[in-house]
Amino acid sequence: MGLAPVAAAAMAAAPSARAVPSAGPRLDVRSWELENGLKVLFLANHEAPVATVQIFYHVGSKDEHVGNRGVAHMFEHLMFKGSEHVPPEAHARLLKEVGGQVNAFTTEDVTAYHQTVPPSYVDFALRLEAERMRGLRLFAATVDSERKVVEEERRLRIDNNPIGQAIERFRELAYTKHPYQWTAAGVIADLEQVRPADCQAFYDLHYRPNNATLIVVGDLDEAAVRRSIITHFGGVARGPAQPRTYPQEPTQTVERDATLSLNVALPVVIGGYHIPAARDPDVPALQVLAAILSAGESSRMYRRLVRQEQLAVAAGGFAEAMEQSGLFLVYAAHLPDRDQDKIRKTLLGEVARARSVPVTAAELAKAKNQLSAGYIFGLESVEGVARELGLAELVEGDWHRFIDASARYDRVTAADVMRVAAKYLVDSNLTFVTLKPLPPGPAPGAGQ
Amino acid sequence: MTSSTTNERRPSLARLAMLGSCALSAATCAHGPGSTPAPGPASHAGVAATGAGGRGGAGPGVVVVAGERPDVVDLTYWQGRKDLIASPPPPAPAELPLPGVARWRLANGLDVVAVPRAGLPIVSFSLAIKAGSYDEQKDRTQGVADFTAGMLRHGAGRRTAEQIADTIDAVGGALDAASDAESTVVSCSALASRADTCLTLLADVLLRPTFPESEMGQIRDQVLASLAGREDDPHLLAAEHFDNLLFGEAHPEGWVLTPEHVRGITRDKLVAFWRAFYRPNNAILAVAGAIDVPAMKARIARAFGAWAAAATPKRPPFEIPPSHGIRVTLVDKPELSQATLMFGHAGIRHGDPDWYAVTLVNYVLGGSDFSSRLMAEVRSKRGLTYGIGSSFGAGLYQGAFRVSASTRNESTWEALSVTIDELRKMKGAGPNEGELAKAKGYYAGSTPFTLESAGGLARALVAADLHGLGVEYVRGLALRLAAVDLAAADAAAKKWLDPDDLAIVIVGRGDVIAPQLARAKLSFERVDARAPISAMARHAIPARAR
Repeated sequence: MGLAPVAAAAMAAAPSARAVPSAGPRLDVRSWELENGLKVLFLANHEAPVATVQIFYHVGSKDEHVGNRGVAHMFEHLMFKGSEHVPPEAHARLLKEVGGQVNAFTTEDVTAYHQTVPPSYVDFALRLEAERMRGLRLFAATVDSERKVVEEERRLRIDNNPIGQAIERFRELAYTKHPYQWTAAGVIADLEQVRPADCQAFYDLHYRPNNATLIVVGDLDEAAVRRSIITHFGGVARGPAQPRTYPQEPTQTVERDATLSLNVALPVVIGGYHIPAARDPDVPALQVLAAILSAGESSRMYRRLVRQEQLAVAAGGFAEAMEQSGLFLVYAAHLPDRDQDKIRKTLLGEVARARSVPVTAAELAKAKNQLSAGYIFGLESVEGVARELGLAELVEGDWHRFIDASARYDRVTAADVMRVAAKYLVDSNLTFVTLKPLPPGPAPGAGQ
Repeated sequence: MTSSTTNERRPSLARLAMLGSCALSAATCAHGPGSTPAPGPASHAGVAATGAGGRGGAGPGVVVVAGERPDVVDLTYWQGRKDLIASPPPPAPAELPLPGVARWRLANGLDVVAVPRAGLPIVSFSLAIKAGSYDEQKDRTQGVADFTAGMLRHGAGRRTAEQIADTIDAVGGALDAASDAESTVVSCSALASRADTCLTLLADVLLRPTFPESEMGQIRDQVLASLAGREDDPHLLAAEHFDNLLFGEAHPEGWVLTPEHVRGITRDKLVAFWRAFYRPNNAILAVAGAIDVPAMKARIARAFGAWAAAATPKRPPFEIPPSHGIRVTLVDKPELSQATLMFGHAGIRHGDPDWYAVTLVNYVLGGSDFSSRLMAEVRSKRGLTYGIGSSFGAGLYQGAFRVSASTRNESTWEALSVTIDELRKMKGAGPNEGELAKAKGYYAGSTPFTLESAGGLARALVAADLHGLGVEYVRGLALRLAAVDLAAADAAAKKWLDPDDLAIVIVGRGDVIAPQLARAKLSFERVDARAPISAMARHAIPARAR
């Protein structure tokens, strides 16, 4: 049993004006490392007959360069296209036959593959995952066909989605040198250049046990899982050390603005400030501030923009913490008849207030309670827990940071919140993109 | 599960709430049209849904979900090989154990389902009112169900909207209300130590809402925004057109909500809707998590015992109009680089005895991502689409069978005709034995995932009740699916698929798609993307205004 309830009594006694001290169960996560460098995290959870096997490779779109932007995500697709003993698509199909939910995702920092299965099929899932780490087969035909699919995916998510286009414009503007300048969706002109040999080199460098963290969570026996992992992954050869050299992003010194005019019915404004890497000690205070600005209908931005001034229909802010310097984003979506300049001024006015006036004790306590409850509710899903452990390990450098997060939030003071707001959320560090609707055309009717 | 969506259209207010967390970080919310939703429940709708990025600060930036792959592939490498990894033995279907589940009824008729679970110090309440947009009147009160739900937390008992928000946020809980076609769900979740905060707030917003006129502007804006958002999303736009085309103007699923409807909603209409339908004898309450059942029984009786029962209005009958052959609406949106397709015909009731066989047939046809025939034929073999899937709605009434896909504008007709051929093949010969066995394996393996979240299990029990299926449905789902034999699956395919009676909607570039339809000798109506979605409203526009 991995979930041991603690501090329940303390919680029951806590009055509503105070923050509940970092409550909730203690997760008994086991971690070990194979000789080939594969890191393993294991958590038993016997609440329900479900288990998840996830592997996080420490490679994402920030490991690309101009000329191959999108290759990390394209490679994620290629991992389903067959290996020595598994024909294309069979990885997903074989797991689906036993009830499995299979998918993968690529971010700037990581590429993750996950399968949630009945516990008795965890050994099978591990075998399949090891198979494609050991013996992926890349063919020109597969690479070419998958390139088209990835390009279609880009069209769906970015080109045919006004907000997707705004985010892309925003990133291009916010980063001038660092690869966070582009998103994992990549660039079609670059994808056209990717050759099978490039994919093979990408695989040989990044898809190695010493660049991966394997996470298994669920209704399982630790010793049995340990044996399975050694059996399937033990013989996979260690790869070379990762380069991990990235262009340094110069400090931003003046505000950057852009306006995008599109055929959009629900316009948005997006602002963002550079913040330090996810593991930086200033990040928890920024997360607490994000909750104060936008968690729930009592939050500052919701109350001001959506409720009191009825300028927007949604508004908020969140810290997009990444492995390297990330962004604190603020946004508002609004009906087209509202004053976009006023929305911008009001949104940024709330940021300015956070810089100059300390948040109240009640706001601070509320934010901590929200973050802590969010953590505890998240523990219900084995898939969610495994994902958070993987992200903490790769993006923040230590999986303990997932289970310690509430404690870090608890230490944040009102002075900390004002200090980080004044340090990072300043105009000279701001990038702002306005997505504007095109002027209305002639009145539409039915055509033939 | 594959067939569990009653309606492609999400409740409008709920959809809006996704703006922050999903759209902006382009995060993992999106699944391709062909993906099979996990049978497990949705996650806690609290902090995470607002985009506060609570857990550990490791929130990813732009995330691209795989979901979608293949095309034409060189398979010779694997041909004839004897050392390929083989399918494992399939999971055995079993009854879902439901330990500790308790049910009771209050004197005023409120049904309660409790799912105790000790593991985590959390509790969730979810109260379903058996009233939704099906209980609105065309044009007169369209949109009132969701508007009423949205207003509940904007004033109740002695609390103002701000006091309600302050109270639930202070304890890190979540209080939500949203309506769909069949029902309205009001939910509250919090740490178990705060269960009373939830109960108090729920009783206030359900029994004593005040519907302040001054609060209506904000909700009106939000509903109007969700209508505007549908213009920006080709899939939602296609779904609205499809429902109107298939269900017609005499069926509430076919009605189209417009800004005029929303602006016409008055406080009196909200109060009238609440008074008529928000009754204990018209509701089911689910409570799940770290609860002591006897103590919870007493607390629920205190909170809801005073709720007065009353007869609720009966729903007028409605039916899907009889078939009309192939009907096509081409929605012209010139800036799109892809066409979005949605097409299908009348489906099945969730309570129909054929529902189990239909679920398996659909799994094989288009309900299983890369394992499905549609994905194999339309995408893997021909590379015509990025994603394709099919579903049968599982609602109280007969819903829709629908296929959903995206493809290049240039390949619209080809993708459509290949898909229709697949429907024809499935209708003709049904699934084969191997396909049926794999579909059963999927459900035998995945059905127990319902047990993962106590709140999710409680909601599944309520959903079964709403459809008149009861606890036995949840307990025996995998066994009933396993009992479907090849003959029954074949008969279901023949009875419930009809490739000659299709409502087809295509959203994309008209100038590229129209010639393809003309070459295929299909008659179609070409509609501007900004024109009214309702065919009736569209045709009422005088010709000179076109």
